[in-house]
Amino acid sequence: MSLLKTVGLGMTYSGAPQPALTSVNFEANEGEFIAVVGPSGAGKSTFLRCLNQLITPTEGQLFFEGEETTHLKGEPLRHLRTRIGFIFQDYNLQGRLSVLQNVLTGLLGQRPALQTTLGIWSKKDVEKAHWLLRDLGLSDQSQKRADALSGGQQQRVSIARALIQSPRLILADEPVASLDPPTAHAVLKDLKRVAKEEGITVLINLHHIDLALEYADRILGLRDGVKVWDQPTSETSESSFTEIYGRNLKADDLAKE
Amino acid sequence: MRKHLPLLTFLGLFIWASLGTGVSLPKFVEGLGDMGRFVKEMFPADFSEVSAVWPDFVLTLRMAWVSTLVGALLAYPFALLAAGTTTTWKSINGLFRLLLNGVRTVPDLLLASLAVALFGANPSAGAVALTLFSMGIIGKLLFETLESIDQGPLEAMTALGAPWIARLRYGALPLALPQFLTYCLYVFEINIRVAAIVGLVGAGGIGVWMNINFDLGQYQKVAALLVTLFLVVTVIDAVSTRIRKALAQA
Amino acid sequence: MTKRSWWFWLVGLGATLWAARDMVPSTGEKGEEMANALFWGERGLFRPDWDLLSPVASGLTESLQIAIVGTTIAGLFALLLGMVAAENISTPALSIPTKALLSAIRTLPELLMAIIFIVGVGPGPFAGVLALGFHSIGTLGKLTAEILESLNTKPMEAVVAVGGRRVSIFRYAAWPQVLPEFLSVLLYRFEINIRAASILGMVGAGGIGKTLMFAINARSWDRVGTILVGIVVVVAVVDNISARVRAKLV
Ligand SMILES: Nc1ncnc2c1ncn2[C@@H]1O[C@H](COP(=O)(O)OP(=O)(O)O)[C@@H](O)[C@H]1O
Ligand SMILES: [Mg+2]
Repeated sequence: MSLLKTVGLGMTYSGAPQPALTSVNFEANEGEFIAVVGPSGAGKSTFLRCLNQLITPTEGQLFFEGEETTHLKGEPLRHLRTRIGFIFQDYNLQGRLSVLQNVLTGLLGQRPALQTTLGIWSKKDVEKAHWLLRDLGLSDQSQKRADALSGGQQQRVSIARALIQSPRLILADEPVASLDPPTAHAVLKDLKRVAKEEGITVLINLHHIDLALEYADRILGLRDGVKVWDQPTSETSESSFTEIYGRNLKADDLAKE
Repeated sequence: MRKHLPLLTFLGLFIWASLGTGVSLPKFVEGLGDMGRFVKEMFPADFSEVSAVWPDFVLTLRMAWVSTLVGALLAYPFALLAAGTTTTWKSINGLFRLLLNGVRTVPDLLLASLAVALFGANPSAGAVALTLFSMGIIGKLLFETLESIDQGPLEAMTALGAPWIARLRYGALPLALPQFLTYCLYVFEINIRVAAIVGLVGAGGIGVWMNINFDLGQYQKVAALLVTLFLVVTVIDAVSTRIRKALAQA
Repeated sequence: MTKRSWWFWLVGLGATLWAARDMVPSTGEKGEEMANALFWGERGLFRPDWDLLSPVASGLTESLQIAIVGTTIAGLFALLLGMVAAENISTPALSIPTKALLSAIRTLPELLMAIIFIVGVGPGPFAGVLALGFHSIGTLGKLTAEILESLNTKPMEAVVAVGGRRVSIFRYAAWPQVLPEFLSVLLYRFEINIRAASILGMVGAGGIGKTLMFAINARSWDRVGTILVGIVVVVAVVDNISARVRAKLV
C-alpha cells in the first residue's frame, strides 16, 4: 500500500537560476527501504527535505497515507512531522543533554508542551527510550552527555530519537557520510533491522553506491534535480549508475571496508 | 583624494568638535594647580563614618545583585524572541530587537531619575533602573549568543514536530544557559559601579552619602567612601573573575 | 541535578530573596495619579515639549562633540600607553606598571573625574572632554595592548626575511593588522561615550545633561520627554553608523 506519493514535485530556491528539483513523481510503499543516489548537488537533500516540508516545495503535490499534505501549515504540519522521523548527516543532537534526554526529545511533538518544558516524562516513555538504547547497543551510555559519544554512537542515538516517535516513515539524509566505512555498515545494518521489525518505510540518501546496493530494496537515481530512474535494486546495472554520474564509477563512489 | 575621504571627514569632525567644546591646552595646564589642591584636600581620607554607613554599602551590593538577576530573567524571553534562530517570525524579531536596543539608549542616571519620580527616593527606584539597565546589556549579549548557536538541534526539533516552546527549551536553552551565570557575574560587576552612582539622584545606596558629603564640602569623607568602594569593587571583581574563569572551563 | 548543585541554587535563591526584601517597587497610594502625571499627564513624559527643541538640539550637539574629542584624545594616549603595556613590544619593567596604571584609571568613575576637572578648568564641555578622555584611556589602553599582544608574527617575519628595518616591520607588517582592530575598539568606546556624555552635564560638565538636570529638578516631565527622545535618536543613530563602519573594518 502506498504510504507516500509525490506528483510533479519541484523546488526552486529563491534567487536560484534553475530549479534544484524538477517534476519528481515518486511513490513509496509501506515497509520499503529505498535509497536515493546521485552525485553531489543532484537534489537528494532537497528532495528529502521537501517530503517533511523542512523546505516548502514550489511545485507539485505531496500525499501521505493517501491524504494531500502539500499545503499544510502550523499545527497540522507539526502533527504530520511527528509521524516522520528525520536523521541528519551530523546527527543534530543536543550535545549538552544526556543521551537519554536526547532520545526523549523525539516525543516533544507528541506530549503536552507544559510537561516536556518542565522536563517531566512518563515512566513508560523513559522505559521505551531505555529499551531502544539497549536495542541499539547503547545501554551503558544513557547518562552520558551526547557529545561525549563517538560518531557512530551519536548516529545511533539519533536513530533512537526517530524511532521513539513511532514513525511511519524515516527520512535519512546521508546518515553515514561522516562515519568510517565499518561503522557506516554497522549503523546501516541496525537501521535496516529496526525498520523491518517495525514495518517503517525508510528513504535514505546515500552517495556511496555500494551501500545502496547492499541495503536498499529499491533505488531512486537523481541527476540535476530530475528523476532518471527508479528500480528495484536487483534490476540496476553498472550502466544505470554511469547514466546518473555521467562517467564510469571510481573508487571514490564506493565505501569498501 | 577619495582614499583620504574618511580621514578628512574625521579631521573635520574633530576640529568642529574641538572648537565647540573649547578644548585648550593652556587652560588645562593653568588648572592643574587647582585640581592638585582639590585632590589634596580630599586626603588624608576620613574613615570615621564609614562603619556607620556600611549598611548602605551592603545595600548598594544587594541592589546590584537583585537587579542583575531580575534583569537577566527579563532578558531571556526578550532575547529568545529577538533572535532569528529561536523565533522565526520576522516581525516579532524586529520588534524585540528594537525594544532591546531602545532600552540601551537611555542613560542609567536618566532611568534612575525617572524611577525616583515614580517610586520615590528609595532603593527600590535604584533597583528598577538597574534592572532595566541590566536587561539591556544581558539581552544584547544573549541575543548575540543565540544568533550564533548551532542550528542543528533546532532543525531536528522542527523536523520532529516539536512546538515552539519545546524547541526553545531543548534546542536553544541548553546552549544558552551555561552563559547565564557568566553574564550575570559580568553585569553584576558593572552594576556595582552604577549602583554606587544612582544615589546621586536619590535612588538609594552609598551614592546618597557621597552626594550629601560633597554638598557639605566634607571632601575627606567623600574620599573615604570612594576608597572603600574601590576596595569593595576590587575584591568583588577578583572573586567574580575567578568564578567566571572556572565556569568557562567547566 | 546533583545534591550539591541543589544546595548551591537553594542558597543562591535564599540570599537573593533576602537581598530583595526592600526592593519591591511600590508607587504608594497615589500611584496611579503619579504615573499619570509622569507619563500621560498635561506635562508628562509622553507629551514632549517641542518648544524646547532648539536648546535640546544644541545640548545634544555639545554632548556629541564631547564624545568625539574625548574619545579621540583617549585613543591617541591609549595607542602610546598600549604599546608600552604590550608584553611583546615593551619590556616587563615598563609593561607591568603601565598595566597597573591603566587599570587604576579604569576604576576612577567618570563623574568623579568630571568634578575634579571642573575644579581645574571650570564647568562646561571642556571638563566633560577631559573626564571622558581620561576615563577611556584605561579601557582603550588595555584593549590596545591586547590587540598588539595577539599580533600575527608571520607577516613580520616575512619583512624581516627580506631585510626590512624595524620601521618597515611596523609600517608594513604590524600596522595593517592593528589599525582595523584599534579603530573598531575606538568606535565601540565612542558608542559608550556618547551615552556618558549625555549625563555628564548633570554634574556641570557640559552637554545635554545640564538641561536634563534642570528639567528633572523642576519635575517638567514634558521637557524630560523631549530630551529623552533626543538622546534616544542620537544614540541610536551613532550606534547604527558605528556598527556599519565596524562591520566594514573587519
Ligand atoms: N538553501 C539553498 N539555497 C539555494 N540553493 C540551494 C540550497 N540548498 C541547495 N541548493 C542547491 O540546490 C541544488 C541541490 O542541492 P542538494 O539538494 O543539497 O543536493 P545533494 O543533497 O544531492 O548534494 C544544488 O545545486 C545546490 O547548490
Ligand atoms: Mg545533500
